[in-house]
Amino acid sequence: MAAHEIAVVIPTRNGARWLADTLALLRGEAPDVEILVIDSGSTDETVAIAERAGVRVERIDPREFGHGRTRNLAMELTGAPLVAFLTQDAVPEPGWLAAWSEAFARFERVGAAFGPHLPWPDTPAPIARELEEFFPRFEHPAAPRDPVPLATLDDPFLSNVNACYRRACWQELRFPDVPYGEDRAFALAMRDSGWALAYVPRARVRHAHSYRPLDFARRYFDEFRALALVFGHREPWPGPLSLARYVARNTLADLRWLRRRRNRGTAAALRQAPRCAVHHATRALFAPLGSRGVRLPAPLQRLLSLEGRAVRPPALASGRGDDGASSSRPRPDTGVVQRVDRRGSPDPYLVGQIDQGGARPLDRDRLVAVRERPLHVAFVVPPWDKGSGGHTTILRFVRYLEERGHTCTLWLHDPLQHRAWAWNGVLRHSIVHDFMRVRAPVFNGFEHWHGADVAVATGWETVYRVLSLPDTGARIYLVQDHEPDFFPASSERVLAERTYTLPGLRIVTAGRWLSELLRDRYGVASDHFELGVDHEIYKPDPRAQRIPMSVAMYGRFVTGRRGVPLVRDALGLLWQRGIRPRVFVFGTEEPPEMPFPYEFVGVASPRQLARLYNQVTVGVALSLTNYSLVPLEMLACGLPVVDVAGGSLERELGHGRGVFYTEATPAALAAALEELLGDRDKWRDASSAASAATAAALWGRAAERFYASVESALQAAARAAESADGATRQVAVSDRQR
Amino acid sequence: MNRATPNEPGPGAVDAAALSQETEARLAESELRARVADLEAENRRLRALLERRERQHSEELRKLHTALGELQERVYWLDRWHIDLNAIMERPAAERARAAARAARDVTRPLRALARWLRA
Repeated sequence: MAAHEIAVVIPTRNGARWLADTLALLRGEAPDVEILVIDSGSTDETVAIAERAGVRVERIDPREFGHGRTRNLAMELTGAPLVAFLTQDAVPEPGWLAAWSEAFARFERVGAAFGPHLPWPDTPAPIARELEEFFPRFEHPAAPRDPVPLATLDDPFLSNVNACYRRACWQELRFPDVPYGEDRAFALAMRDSGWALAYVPRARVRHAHSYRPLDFARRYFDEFRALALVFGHREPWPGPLSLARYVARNTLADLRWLRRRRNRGTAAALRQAPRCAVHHATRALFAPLGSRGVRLPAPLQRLLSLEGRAVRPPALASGRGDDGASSSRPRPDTGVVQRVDRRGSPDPYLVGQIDQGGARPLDRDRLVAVRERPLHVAFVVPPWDKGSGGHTTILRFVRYLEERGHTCTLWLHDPLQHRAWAWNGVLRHSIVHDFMRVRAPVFNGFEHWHGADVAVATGWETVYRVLSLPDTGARIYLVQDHEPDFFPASSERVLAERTYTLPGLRIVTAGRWLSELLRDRYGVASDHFELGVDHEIYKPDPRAQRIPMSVAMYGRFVTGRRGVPLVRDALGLLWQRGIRPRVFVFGTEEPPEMPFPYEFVGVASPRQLARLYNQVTVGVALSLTNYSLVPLEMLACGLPVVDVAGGSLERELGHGRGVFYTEATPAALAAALEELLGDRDKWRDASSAASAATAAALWGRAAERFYASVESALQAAARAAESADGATRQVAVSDRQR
Repeated sequence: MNRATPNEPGPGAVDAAALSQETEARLAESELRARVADLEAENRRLRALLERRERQHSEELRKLHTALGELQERVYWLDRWHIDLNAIMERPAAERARAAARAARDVTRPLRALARWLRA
């Protein structure tokens, strides 16, 4: 490296503590390198140390100092094509100078570059951790030690604590005369002018502040006041809860960092906890205060500022340097593309794994004596919410199998990590308390997968997981709805559709309609079972008095396939015509907006729902895909139901079963409701037909059908294994004969 | 009766050799059958053993899953707060706490014994 290629500038004011080390290292790296110290009124040994080291010292009046102004002066006083800036408390690491030269030689259009800051051994944990986590995000993933130009639209971070500038770039742009943030303003101007910014990982300096907690707070006030002035950044005020969460989360992260990086014991780390918590709390409060600080009275600003300065906005807003040179005013952050760290799995649904390697072969050893012994059936389930109908059906089957002496396990497949926080005990608690008591243990993830005689996929995303599970005797796909219809045109829709045609799965559907749909649309055969009704709960109550002209309306608007807006509009039409039934809305947590008054039931327990179904006159719970349990349970309580014609409920129940089928339009639904609400004889006939219609809908029967499919799947797998064995034997015999 | 001299095989000698060969073959076949029957019996025995073992294994797995499910319910609050007691108790601080508890017990135990003796 030629010494005249690069000059080093260090603005100082009482920086004797670090200056000797800095100068010694620079002289050691390149004895002839040009070093300029610009001192603004030091009263300690700073100037003497610099002079003893033989570097050029320029003294300026402290009142003349400005972060942009003084650096412009430094650029003018030096002549090298590259000028590196340090602050007085940043001490370079070996290889610092060479790293800049290499980076600028490699990339011609790089106008400025910055390097990482390393903490000192005694730097407080919050600062040290922040530094260690902040800079690696700029590294190139494939070559983390090499200089890397950042894209022109990247968030233009640049810090004169440890930066280097190409003179040609500075001559074009110059530093704006702002009290703070001149480096980032320069970076924004570079972006507008087509110069590139680079990150140089090897140009490392030791630099971290070690203030007292209150001084840290005042420092944050300064920083965010400057960000507000230069970039228009406004930090939002945290709410009490989010403040508590922020402080707790960061304090815990600091404690973990202390144990991992500084090998502190738990007790020693915990002693640091109050200081860490105070640090994060003051940061969370002084950052928004600072970003509004320019509006505070000058004396208060001086009190809150670590620099002791008050700032007036008009002086700053001009965006022009004191030397008259134009500096493009930084724009607000529009159009800035931020660097986002990697998150999530590259193949969350395991589709790529299945496409590349295919499904895991079935384990023949699992098929020994399957007819004579209890089975282990593993249900792989997607994440659930309280009261999910699909999961209730799955758990009914689990309970049925357990009652027959088999053992079951539940495996949560959570590809998007929505339930990553839930440990197994929490999942088990949710199953038992939100659904029903089963004996099956619950596992979050597949770390403890120990094989199963039958693995059951219960949702489209679980299919790929089930196909990839080892040590499995047979596989079943329990389809409770046509899930591609849950999505608009999307990757999820495509992947869901594919699951029906993947080989190696015996499909079992909820209802005949769905089985026929899979046959007609995908050409696949499937078994089916009819949904059952819990007749212990859902039954006509002879003591109940029905409310005349009343409607129970399923009101979950967020589930589009339930067609709730159609029902809302139908009831709205009735109101317009002067027919005003009492409407009870259930099945949703928040009261929806309706064009008529109604009574909000919310998410009710099964017994509460049974009471409601026994008290109203008509029920409406549409499903535009596969039928749901709700209309069956209404019918079981003797409540006539209005539903759309040509749908799954019509296919399952047929006519004359207490259901009035009509077109899926508000007017047609309104007409059907009006007919049922107004015609007393028709309603009585429909009500008696309704309770009879569901008498045969038993969960035991549904579970038997499901179990028959399990046995069929095992038999088919055993037959396939035997024929494969026979083929192997034949090959072996013919080999011997040859 | 036609008798043959030792050096001159009589007319029935060939038949006797064939008979002997046939007898040997029958013997070999019956041995083979017996061997096959033994093997089949062994096979049946092993199959029955395998099925018994499979049933035992399935029964053990069922009990294990039931016990695991019950345990998962018991640790709900620990899991709810992400507390891994084993990891905590393996730390040096926990060892110190246990030592302190033992030391306290060494003091309180004689005192309680003394109190019991005095009450008696």
